Amino acid sequence: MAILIKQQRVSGDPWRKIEDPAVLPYNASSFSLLPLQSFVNLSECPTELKRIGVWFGVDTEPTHITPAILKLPLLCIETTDFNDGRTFTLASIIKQQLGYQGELRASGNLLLEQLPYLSQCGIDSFSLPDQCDWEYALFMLRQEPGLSRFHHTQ
Amino acid sequence: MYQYSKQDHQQLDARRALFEQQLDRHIEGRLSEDEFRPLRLQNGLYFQRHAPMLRVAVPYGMLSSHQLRKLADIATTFDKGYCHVSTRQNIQFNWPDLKNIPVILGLLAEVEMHATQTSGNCIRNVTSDPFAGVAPDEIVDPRPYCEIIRQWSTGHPEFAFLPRKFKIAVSGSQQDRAIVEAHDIGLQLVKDTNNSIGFKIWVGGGLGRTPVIGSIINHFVAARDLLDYLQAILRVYNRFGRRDNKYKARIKILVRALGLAEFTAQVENERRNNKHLNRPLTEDDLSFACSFFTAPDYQRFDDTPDQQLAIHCRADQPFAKWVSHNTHAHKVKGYRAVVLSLKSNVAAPGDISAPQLSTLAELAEQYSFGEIRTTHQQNMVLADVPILDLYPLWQALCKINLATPNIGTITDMICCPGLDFCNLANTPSIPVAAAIRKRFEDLDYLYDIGDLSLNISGCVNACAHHHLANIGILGVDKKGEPFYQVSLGGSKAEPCRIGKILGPAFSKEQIPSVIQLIINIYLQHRIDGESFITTFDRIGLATFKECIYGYSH
Repeated sequence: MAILIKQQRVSGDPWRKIEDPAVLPYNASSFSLLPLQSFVNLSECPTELKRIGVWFGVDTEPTHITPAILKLPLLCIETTDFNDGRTFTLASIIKQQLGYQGELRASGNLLLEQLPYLSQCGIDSFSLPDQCDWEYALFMLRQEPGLSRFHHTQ
Repeated sequence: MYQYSKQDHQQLDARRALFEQQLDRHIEGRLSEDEFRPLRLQNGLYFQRHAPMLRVAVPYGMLSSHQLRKLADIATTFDKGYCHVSTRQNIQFNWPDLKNIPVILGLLAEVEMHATQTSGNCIRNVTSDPFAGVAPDEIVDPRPYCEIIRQWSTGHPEFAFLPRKFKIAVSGSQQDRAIVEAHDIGLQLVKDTNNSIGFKIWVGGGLGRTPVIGSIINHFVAARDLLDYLQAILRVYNRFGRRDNKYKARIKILVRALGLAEFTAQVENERRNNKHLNRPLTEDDLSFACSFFTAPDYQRFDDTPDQQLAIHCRADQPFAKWVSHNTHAHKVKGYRAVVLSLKSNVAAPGDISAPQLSTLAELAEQYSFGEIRTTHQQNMVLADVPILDLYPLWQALCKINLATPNIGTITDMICCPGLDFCNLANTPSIPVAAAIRKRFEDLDYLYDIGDLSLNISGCVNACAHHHLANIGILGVDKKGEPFYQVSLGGSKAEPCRIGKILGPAFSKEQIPSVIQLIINIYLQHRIDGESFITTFDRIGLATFKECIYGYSH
């Protein structure tokens, strides 16, 4: 089980991550988090898919996050190496440039020290390994952002 | 100088408290070395050969006398009584105890100093011209823009885990003294035909094992769009820079792989995508930044100081030599900028002792409005000295061994700490510098050779910028033995260019004689006092090769 941190609180996670790209959005059960490949060639996202989310890696090309995907309630960026800072830029692009309104989540191999920066880049929730020090994670998220007047270009 | 606001102090304290906690977690074993590494590096802490090394940020090289005293205290209490000026204008402590790091950071914070982003894969301390604000050839004072970049890049959430380190330099004068072309981003302040301020921007320069001179990506970016442009470049780099091989991870490799045209197109695309999101710098932002860099309260002088100086120089030869080599023209009549040589015959290049720092703090207050600067050449500068005070200042500097009149000459060497300190180095560099210096002790001989740059790097990471020296020395390891490869014809500006390798490497013992031989060849072929570069271009590398290795082509 993973620990979910959202709005500076540890909460239950109804979402289930699906690894198999053969599971299609139409036949997945509610609260399924599907790989991006499941959505290839899917141009419309009917309203009944509201409870479907999508996960993808840090190397994802933003143009692959189509308008249909942007209507989903949960997008999750999966990081395999915490040194790979593409997570930060991808999150910024999804929120700022693509204007995503739903919940943007980060999961995978993250440093707890990165949580404030991720949050500033637009990440709304974090899926962390269950052995993680969640109290420290919450402490990190309570840190003031420490931005100057010249950070307005975020 | 920039003055911290209450909020700046709070943020600095919070950052420091957080790092202290991370250090504790690491010592307790709750944070592995892999996890701790990026955190400690972003806080300036290296694990070196003998002890940790703490690299303290000196934003664009500006220091106050209070800060200098604090550095002296730290050097006395927590180090071996000295510190080191790096080629990025920062200050390094080579012998602190790990357990004292939080205390040292606390002391630094008292004088608005820290070690944030002096290392790691993030935007590093921005560097500039040590004569900023006082140089007669200045177009626009670069310091307000350096400060804007400093504030923007400090704790920037998106760019703290880049593929590799990222260095930005800003020059505001006609002569580039910040080596903008050898940086990941180089910024040259310019004015357009309407007298509007903007930047000529270079991208993808850098030294290390693949030295590259930067390419001009834009000839004029309006000052208000500075951060927008930097963000676009960094976004493209953060997305597409290589992460599979740290030796191919710098932006220079990306620019070269994509080609400048494609890289530029991507940057422009990024700017278009962000157009509606980014607020340009306002007049208010710019005047806020400029307000910290107003001219000090200069006295008004007529021609008397210059006349007196001429008389004084005729009467006192050693003083005259120092004035001619270690002082720099000033934009205000009756003033000079003074370069303090950290290249004496006793200490390693760039080292300064605690007593020197303390006395220098006093001298800065007495003669130069309490400000000191560090230079990438590993020296220090008092930027605003009245000409009438040069003589007493010189006498005082002589007493503390900071008046070696060798600025710009072959003994004003840039030298990395090398194997004596650094974990990355293959070979020693400080003893090589000492051996060369010994060869060129005679001042008249030194002056006869004239201005000439000689840089020594102890490994291919090229911290001493050996590629850009007229004579570059690179330490290489051959089956456990140190050898030294020599390159000739490099230059840091006008134009910035990379030296050519002379040939097979030499032993440490051979190096002083080889350098002597190179100088002899130069002096023998020099016409009408031309520079080393001019002679080198005229007679070619082959002439040097033939004379030194004794074979013909």
